[in-house]
Amino acid sequence: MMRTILTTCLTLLTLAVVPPWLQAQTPPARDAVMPFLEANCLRCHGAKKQKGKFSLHNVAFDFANPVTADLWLRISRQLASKEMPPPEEDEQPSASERARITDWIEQQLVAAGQSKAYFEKLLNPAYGNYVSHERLFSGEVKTLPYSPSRIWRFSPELFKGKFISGAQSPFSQITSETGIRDYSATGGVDQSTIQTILINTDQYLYLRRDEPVFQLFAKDEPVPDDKLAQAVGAEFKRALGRNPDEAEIAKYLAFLKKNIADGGQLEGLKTTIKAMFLCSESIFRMEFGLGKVDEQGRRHLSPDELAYAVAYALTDQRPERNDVIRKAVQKGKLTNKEEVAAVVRETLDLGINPSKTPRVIRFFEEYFGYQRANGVFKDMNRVEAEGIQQWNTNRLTYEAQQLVEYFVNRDKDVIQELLTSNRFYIAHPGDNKLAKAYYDEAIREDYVELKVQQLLEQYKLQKRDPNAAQEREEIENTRKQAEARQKTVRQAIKDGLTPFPGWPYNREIRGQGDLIYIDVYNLPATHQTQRQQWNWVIDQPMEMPREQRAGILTHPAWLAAHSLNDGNDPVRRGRWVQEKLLAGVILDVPPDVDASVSHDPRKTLRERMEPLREAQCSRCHNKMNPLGEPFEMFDDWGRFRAEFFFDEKAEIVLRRGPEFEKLLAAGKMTRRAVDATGEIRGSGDPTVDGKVQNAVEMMQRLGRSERARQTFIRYLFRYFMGRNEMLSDSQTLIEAEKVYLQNGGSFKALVVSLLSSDSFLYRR
Amino acid sequence: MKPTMFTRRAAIKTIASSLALSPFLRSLAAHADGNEAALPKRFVFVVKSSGIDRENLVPGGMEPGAWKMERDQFRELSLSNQQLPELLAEFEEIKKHVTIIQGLSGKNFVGNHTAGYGALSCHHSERVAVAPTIDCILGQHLSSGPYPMYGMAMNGELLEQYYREPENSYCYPNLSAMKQGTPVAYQASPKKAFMELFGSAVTSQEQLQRQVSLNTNLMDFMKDDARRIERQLSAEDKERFANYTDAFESLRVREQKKVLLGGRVKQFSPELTNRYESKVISDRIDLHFELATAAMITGLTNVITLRPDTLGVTYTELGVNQAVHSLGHLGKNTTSNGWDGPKARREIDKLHLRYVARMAKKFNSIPEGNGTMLDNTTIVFMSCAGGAHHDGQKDWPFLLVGGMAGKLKTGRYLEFPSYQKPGHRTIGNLYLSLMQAAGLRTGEHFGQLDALLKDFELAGPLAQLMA
Repeated sequence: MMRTILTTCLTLLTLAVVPPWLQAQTPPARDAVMPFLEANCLRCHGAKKQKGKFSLHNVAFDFANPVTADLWLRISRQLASKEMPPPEEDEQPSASERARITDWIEQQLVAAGQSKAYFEKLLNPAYGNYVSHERLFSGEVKTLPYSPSRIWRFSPELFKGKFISGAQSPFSQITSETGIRDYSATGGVDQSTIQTILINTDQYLYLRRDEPVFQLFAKDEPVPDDKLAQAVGAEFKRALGRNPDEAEIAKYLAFLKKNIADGGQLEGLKTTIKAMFLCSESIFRMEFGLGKVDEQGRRHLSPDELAYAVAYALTDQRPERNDVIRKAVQKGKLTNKEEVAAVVRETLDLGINPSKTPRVIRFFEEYFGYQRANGVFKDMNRVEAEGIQQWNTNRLTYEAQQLVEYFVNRDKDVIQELLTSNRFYIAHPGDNKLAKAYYDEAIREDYVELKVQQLLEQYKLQKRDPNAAQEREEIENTRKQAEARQKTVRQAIKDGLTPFPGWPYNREIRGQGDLIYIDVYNLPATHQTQRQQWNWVIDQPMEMPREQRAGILTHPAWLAAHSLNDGNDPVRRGRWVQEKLLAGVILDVPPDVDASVSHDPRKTLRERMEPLREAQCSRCHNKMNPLGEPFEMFDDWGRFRAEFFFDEKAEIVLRRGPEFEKLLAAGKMTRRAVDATGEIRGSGDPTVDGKVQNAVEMMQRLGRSERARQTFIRYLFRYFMGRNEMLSDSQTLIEAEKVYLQNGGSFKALVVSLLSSDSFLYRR
Repeated sequence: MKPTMFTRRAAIKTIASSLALSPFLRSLAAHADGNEAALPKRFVFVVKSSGIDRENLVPGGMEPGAWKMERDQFRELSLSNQQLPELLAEFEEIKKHVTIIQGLSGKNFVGNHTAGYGALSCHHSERVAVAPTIDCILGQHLSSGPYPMYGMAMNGELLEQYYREPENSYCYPNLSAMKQGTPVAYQASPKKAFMELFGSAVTSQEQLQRQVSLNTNLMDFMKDDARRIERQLSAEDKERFANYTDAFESLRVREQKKVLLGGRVKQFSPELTNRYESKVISDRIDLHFELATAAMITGLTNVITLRPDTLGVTYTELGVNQAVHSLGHLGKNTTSNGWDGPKARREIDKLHLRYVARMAKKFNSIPEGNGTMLDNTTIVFMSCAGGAHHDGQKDWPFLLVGGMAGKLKTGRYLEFPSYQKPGHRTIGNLYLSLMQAAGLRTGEHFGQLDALLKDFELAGPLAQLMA
């Protein structure tokens, strides 16, 4: 069994709070920055001109003054986010020049103890991109990577895996739901956490009230010492998942005895068990680095720490519950980079899916955010009026996930495929053999009898009487359903289509009975009892029209997740692309922004957003709108569209119901082609940058770009490390990208590289 | 980038100093000063399931077929010269304290038969606590007793889905949240609620001593355990870890506050009878109201939320054999005792309202300041879903009983123009009114706005309700 992390005697060095690259000697203030300001800023913000009523020629250097500090922080952010000098200026300082100044400014702020809120903010996932992308991948940073020594509160998912099922999680994420969520620095614990744990534990003890141990303690005669110790050992194991060591037994035994003396046997035991659920080890993961210390003062994680770190990186279960990790620990094979890599590789090779590696699958949910489609409210009146037969976001998000599983297990050019492929799963169990089996069954002549026989066999196994009233009714229903299915199937074959077989829900696959929800793929939706119109495909993922779909961002699940109640959301979509494919920074919305878009029924959304390209809105919106508007080639249900329609009043008509068809047939509508043009800027590659006709073209260019690949890797890094990258992680990221490319775009190789990197293995 | 070193906040220190001014002392002091504004303010939210049929809340004085789905005008009636609707018969003698509000919407807070957390937080989020709810906001502001807010429910989303013993445990009815990610558990067992709130009244000195000792042992042990870890932490982790250790301290403070209230707990405690073991639904509702009334008078908290039923509850004692959900779909069909759907639903509302009336009359009998305790207490009777059984949230009826030290107009029937008509208002506006009346500073809006109402002026409280 694993030894505890906690009991190991250790002395920790006091942490140097200022990271190494900020510890350089600082030159005198003026000399350090004035030449840069003169060359890049003063022409517009100097003695002669004060654009935006802002000038820097007399800028103060007293960083201890909060006003001065705040001003410099703003300068630093403007430079780092490349909002200044204005992007349209031809002469731009180089990335390293910018970095030299921003580093210098942040050094001054740290030294003066200023801008604490800002530095705290940087620990949040939403600010990960504040670290310069160019520098991270430049190779100029040679610092050896590490993670800070830390505690990391358990996630709600880990709680589910370790406590009574169904209990309310005392832990919740406070990070934004539109990104990576589980960060060591953002997991909070407060009174409500403790109260919830106490409530859970009370209920847990109540449900166990008849167990022998509680019966024993409820008696009047004193429980002998050996039984007390036994109870402590067993309860500790139940609460914390591991056996206590001797010191722990002694500690809890003494506590139990004191409790018995003060409050009686039974209540004393209960209080002792509560302590086990409340102790820090039940709440926090601990990664202090209890292994060897290297020459740079970095401390390697111990084998125990590694077991937890790897288990919690890939799964939601304790390491003992994972065969691969448990065996490695037992054999003493979890001590160094190579051994960790081997364990990770072996685990991934068993298959990446929600049951074996749930946490890996969850990365894609958090990165792409398609899961949020379930939470975007759509008015049911609109569903009907706009010709959606059934709005089934559960199914859509599942189909996005099927695609992820397919590409990561195929393991070839994974990032590019996810971002550009026109292959989708639609109404498919996710396994072609299985799909064929259901198909073969559905087209059998004796299909109806077969279904009834299957049910009868099931009754036999369950020893149920097929002649009982309820069973007879069930058999009758099964027969009716099978007959209905057979009718549809036979009709489809007659119509020259591949019939859709339908299949039940089971542990591996989601059940699907009909094609009623497929409107969103621009396919004809039909209910099980209706004549099938779509030519279903057995072998999937299947090809979608190349000019309509390219990757997850053109999947209805993603589009719906990034839409509003009543329409598209180009701003959020553009922001997604800017941050998650271009590693760009959108500064926080200024407090005085009046964020409103006019409500003119004669204009398309894009036209209504035109003012955002002007004036003070433009600096941020030019980074988002041109990347989000290409998705105007889809409506907010995810359907491809080529035209907008306007009625006789020149008002836009989004409805597609019978009324729409009538007007269209009567020639009472005018059409206008959808304008889905946009522009990629700042990819760092002139062959990628430039205008695009629509989202498909944008994804085909961007999805293959170096910048998108590197940005994806940065997000994956954050997910596994539970923190934002630091410049010192540069070597880890460069190596990860190299390994990914050398292995033909292997996601598994990428994960192995990150989880066996120095950033993962070392603490300081 | 790592943050610079921060000093640790000592937020809970202030709690200790505020202890001296426990609620009853403050109330007494205010009484002595003749300072009505400083009297404690209290709220009780009664949030039933399955909606409230709107036509049952229209006073008799209005024309027949009074409830109209389409309304262009705001209408206001004084209840003093009106006959109260049959449903409110029990309120006749205190009708000057009654306010009926109809026609508010919360259409964007949807869910499966319930707006869930959205009903009190004005967010589209049935099952996840994404924002603080009105009861918790008021409670955190108003309560100086041990509990910022206390909840009791029939059942809810159970703690343990495989052992359905709702009457025996805490549950999460998906109604209240202190803040994002912090849902409030409700006590479903009247017996356990009694022991938590009034346990000291029936516990021997010796037993009490044992409980206190065990609790002290536990908190000391936890703090000691935490200290060993604390030494190993980096500066910023220490900061976060402090919240964990502080939590034990604040729980200790809560127990200490209860001890301070010991005398009043004994004085106002209900009598613990074997009815507290009853599993009959109406008994449990009765006891929840009894406990809530006593807890308010004692000063254990200033805000209580009660959840008298859920869709799964079957009122067999009323002679119906179908659960609340089925009754909602009954229509003209009849249940076991011959009631049709509307009648059965009305009888259930009446049952709840009987206890609301009893509570209000009890408060009205206790002098406070220049009036009674009811003058400083508002009971809000509502459903977690607007209107009838799952018919959307366009017309969400509310019944207010009591006042807010003269800050709310009472004794009136208010009916707002229908959804998307000029003058239409939302439940968010009502909550702003409650908060402002209770002396909270608020913004212009509460919760999420309805996109389909974006062209309407919807800022601020309900002017028609504010005195």
